[in-house]
Amino acid sequence: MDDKQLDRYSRQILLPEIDIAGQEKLLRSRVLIIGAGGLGSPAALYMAGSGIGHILINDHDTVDISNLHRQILHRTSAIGHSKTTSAIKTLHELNPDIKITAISQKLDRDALQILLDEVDAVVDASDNFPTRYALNSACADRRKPLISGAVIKMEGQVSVFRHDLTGYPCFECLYSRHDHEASNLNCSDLGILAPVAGIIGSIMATETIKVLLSLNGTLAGRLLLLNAKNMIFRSVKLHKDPHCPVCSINPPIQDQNLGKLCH
Amino acid sequence: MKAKDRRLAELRSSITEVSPAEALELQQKGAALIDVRDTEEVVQGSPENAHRLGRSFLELRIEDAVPDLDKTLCVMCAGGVRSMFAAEALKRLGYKDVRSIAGGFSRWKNEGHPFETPTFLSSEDRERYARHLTITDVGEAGQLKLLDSKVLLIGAGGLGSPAAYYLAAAGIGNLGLVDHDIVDRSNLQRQILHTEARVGMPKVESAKIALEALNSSINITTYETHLDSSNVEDIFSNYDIIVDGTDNMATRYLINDACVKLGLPNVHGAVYRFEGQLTVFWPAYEKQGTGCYRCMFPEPPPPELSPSCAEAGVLGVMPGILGLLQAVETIKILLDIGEPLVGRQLHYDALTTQFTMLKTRKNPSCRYCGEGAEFPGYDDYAQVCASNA
Repeated sequence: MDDKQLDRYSRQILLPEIDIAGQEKLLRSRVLIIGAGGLGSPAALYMAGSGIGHILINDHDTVDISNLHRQILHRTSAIGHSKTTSAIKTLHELNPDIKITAISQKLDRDALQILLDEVDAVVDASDNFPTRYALNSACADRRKPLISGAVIKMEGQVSVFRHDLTGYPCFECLYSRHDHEASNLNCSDLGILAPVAGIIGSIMATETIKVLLSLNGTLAGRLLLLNAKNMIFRSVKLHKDPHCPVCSINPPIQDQNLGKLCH
Repeated sequence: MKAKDRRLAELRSSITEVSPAEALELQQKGAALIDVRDTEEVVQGSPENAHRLGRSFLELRIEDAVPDLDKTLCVMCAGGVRSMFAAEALKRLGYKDVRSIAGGFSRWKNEGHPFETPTFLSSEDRERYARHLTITDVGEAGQLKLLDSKVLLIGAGGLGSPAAYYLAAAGIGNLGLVDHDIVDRSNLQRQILHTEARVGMPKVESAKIALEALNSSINITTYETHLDSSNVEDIFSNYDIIVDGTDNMATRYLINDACVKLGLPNVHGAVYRFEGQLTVFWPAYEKQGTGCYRCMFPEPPPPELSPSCAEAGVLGVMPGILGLLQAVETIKILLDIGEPLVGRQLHYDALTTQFTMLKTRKNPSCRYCGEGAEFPGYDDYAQVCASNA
């Protein structure tokens, strides 16, 4: 690290759990964020600030005025522009020291798998079930940790799916595809209290950093639930589904078309 | 005779008409006044406390406004015709006692009955805050309230960055920022309001640039000053709620004391290494007895024992989470939704991702907020630490 970097990351280097070695590890890390919206905004900003060396951010959408009540990566002047272009600009202004790659096309299964081979962790900041299933399945295939979050109205949830380790439940152990695959439910349509998205996105960033630094105590095997109305956080234990089509030892034959639904 | 006139004549035999004076009397006795005119008409004036539901969504919205089917409804339009048709629709929906106000709003106004000129969201605001409007806890009335609110953030640093960003995005109409510091490169790891290009600029100025770029329709007032006993009341008295984003002991006591004196809610957050805590101190809260910061810590520790210091390490995202939790509590208090974090303190340990709730107690003999306590004045403590979280 040069002097500028030592200055920039000084408050993190002071933490014994991070130190110079941990900060260098973060600077060598590569994270793929799917979604530059309500969850992706705070997650990307805090990961950029913390010095994750290479952030790849995927979104095919353009900035709409209704995004701006919670998507702090974007500005009024970016309305109509691609979200990834807008995101790159904001992230670089905060931290010109890191590499940021914009991916603004929809990813099919093959493109997603190629990308996964280049990264250390994946952040699911998408807003729909088809993308979530496709990501979970691709992460299982490429053995990449998946940090996943969701918000609706004044509630939110976060978990970490350790596809890189054995014995942990995955997204599909939690949500059966049969129940949700056809769902067109888009959480943001039902409304979101602006900073609740911020809380969940920031917790996702924290969990990602912990995964990258190999710190214990992540949300692997647990689901964190927030009800912001009374500000109660609960953590529930997740169980591995022995018949999970994605992560069980002898899964049923997978639906090869699923990847095409991805974001 | 036209079809509508024939139908109107039929309706007159089944729907009771009342005069504006009678409607006002019924409203005072508990009846609901339903204004079914369009927004463009309502902005010219509408009876006080009327439910302004419009005609096109009337059947879809009435039950949220008046859940009790037994309640008397007095329906108003401009002249008393549309209200007859609307009244019939409400009767068919199951409301048992529905009346139409004869002569409508024009007669109401001419007879000198009380009315107000309500405000509505502009069409741009309706789009910008669309995702708030669909939450029943916010809705149009709530968003208007947010746009009319005044929130003061102490510190445009680690906690203040996300709090200010999201409060501005959410449409808090008047945001005040107090900070005397300038942007340093070592801030950028966690203070997301600022940028590399703005290193060396006063933090409040840098913050204003970022917030206005996100939402230029709100008012941002900056105070590039050090908060002390000589200016605290002048500044605080312009606001509804104070968000404490300082990690400076002396300022924390000053904020507490001024909030107690002025009866303001104090949304308190703090971070240290991988830990954070959040609570709301608000002794003046009507719904629940609650203490102040001094109930927990009557006096600051000596500087050498203070855990809060600029050079303590902190994970960049920690103040992010705590500042966002402060923003949520602020909005809850402004809109009176859910249960604010008064009398409770949330503790977050990021290393284990454990959230713990602790009860906080009021100290009945607290010098500042205890029973019968008279404000003892401000203590200008020596600065323990000059930098924000």
